[in-house]
Amino acid sequence: MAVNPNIVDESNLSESGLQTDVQSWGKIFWQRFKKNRLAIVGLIVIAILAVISVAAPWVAPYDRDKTDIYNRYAEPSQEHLLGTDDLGRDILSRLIWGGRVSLTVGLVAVSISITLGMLVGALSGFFGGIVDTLLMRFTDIVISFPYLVLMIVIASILKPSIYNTMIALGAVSWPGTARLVRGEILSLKQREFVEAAYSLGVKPARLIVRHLLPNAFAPVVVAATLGVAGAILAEAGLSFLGLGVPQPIPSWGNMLNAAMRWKVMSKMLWMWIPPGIMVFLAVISINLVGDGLRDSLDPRLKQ
Amino acid sequence: MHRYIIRRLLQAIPIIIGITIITFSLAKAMPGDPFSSILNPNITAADLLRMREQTGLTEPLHVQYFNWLKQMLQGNFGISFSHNKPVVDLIGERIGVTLTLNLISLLIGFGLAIPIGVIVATRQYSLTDNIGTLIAFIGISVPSFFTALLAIRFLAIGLDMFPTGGLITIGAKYAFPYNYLDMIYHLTLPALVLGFFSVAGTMRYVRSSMLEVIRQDYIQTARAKGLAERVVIYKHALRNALIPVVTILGLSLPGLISGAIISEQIFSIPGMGTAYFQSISARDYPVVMGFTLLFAIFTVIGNLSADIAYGFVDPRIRYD
Repeated sequence: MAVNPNIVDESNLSESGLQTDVQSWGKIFWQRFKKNRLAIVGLIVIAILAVISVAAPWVAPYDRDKTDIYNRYAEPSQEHLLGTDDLGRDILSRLIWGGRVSLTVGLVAVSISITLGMLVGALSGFFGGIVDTLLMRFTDIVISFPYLVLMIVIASILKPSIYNTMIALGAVSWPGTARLVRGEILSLKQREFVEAAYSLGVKPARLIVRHLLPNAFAPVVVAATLGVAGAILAEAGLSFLGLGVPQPIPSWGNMLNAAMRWKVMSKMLWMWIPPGIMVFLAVISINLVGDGLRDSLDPRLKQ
Repeated sequence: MHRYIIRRLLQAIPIIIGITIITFSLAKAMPGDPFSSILNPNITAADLLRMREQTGLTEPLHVQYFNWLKQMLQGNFGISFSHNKPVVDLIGERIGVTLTLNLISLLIGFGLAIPIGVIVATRQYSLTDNIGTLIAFIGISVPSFFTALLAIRFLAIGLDMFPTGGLITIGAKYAFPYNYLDMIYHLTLPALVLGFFSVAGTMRYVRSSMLEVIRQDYIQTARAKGLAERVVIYKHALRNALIPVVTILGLSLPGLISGAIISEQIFSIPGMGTAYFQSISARDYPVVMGFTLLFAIFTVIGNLSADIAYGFVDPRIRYD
């Protein structure tokens, strides 16, 4: 057979210059993500923090609640690497357990907020009309309250506890996700695959869950990641004010509360600087990862 | 343009009504009321009931809501139980301090963020850019109250450069103008701390906005015309890049009175934030409801102004 350059078949496929390897979007995303060095650093740091938090019962040198009144306010030493607090409890152990609490509260709060937000956004974007108007007005009303103000009010209605903190945080940040999801769904509704599914008789619920939401995922994932960072900061703030995680459960926020006493702030830096640094490390690494996610999931950047 | 503004205003009305309903429900949902923490055994249950009746706490909820709304619309925000003065007076006392603090920090924030953002955008990917971005990341990742605590510990206690808190030097009675200078001296550290956060967040916004604008064709045209680079950047690019920044400015408006609740606590500044927080702990309903309503209404006004300003600055969006 004469070689005809205008026909591409298996014999000259490799010379044709066409892309022959099919890459899943997961692989493409990972390749782009890998190039962002800061994001990788962030990923490593938050992974280390997560592993330490999960392994808290085995990693912490002391029991987190064990008081030792003869040894209060001890400076860092061989025995207690970060010293002890006002009741003689080892600070390093409380820091590790506190990390568990803070990270968990952040994750659960964001899960609540994303679930609520996706629910409202999807219903609003898909059904449109009166449902959309009502839901969006409600969202606008909730957004009108300043973040911190609403959180403080909700936290004071519920008694301070870990679970109520998660609820308070989740209840305040869902509107952002709702608007995001609604916008995505509105633009996806125009696409042909939706029209095709609809004309095939796919029921609305299935259409939303199986077809629309998976395609709206990318910005939601970015928002969720950055949301965890925000939730950790917010939990630290609430617990610092005494409205979040209550004593004796340690959290990075309520460990920082110790600094409100002059003696501790000026002379006992080991009690409050480590929790602050930990919050900073956790939040900045999550922010770096989220930023990297946003850049590598952005469909507009063609490589 | 007028239709746009009127449409926005009309949309705001149901939102404001909804805000009043939610504010009222939230305040009523708080367990306890101003009289529930009275432990004096000489005050009988009948007395407590009488006190509650006098202040209108025993009426059915929707009646309470409409009474409150009626008073609100006439400008009467009620009387604070813990401060024993009208809420409006309390707002008048506290709002000056908070406004001053947040205005100064806003000025610092935008004043630094815009130039830094522009410089960093013009040198994308260089060392300056990376340092700037890193500082911005640090700024938004540190809890604000931690920075405040660090600042107090190292600048106020350690280096003794600033007072550790409060609004005025206790016991000193300065004559004008020294009393104002004293207050500004006390507000410097909090304003710097708050301003730092402002800079961090806004700087990235300015940077990405600038980057988008610089890629546009009309910038290339300006350069091709032979204009000096400085004119291209500061006269043509910056003006267009500032459009989204105007939006942020509008959105920062509510922050002028409701921001810095935690920082006010740390620096012991008698502003709106501390009053609000104390009144929540004391279940002082008129103050809680009045302040929350004020904050929310300011947010609505801020969003409205941001939208309208955007409409002025960018004619393309008026015609939708």
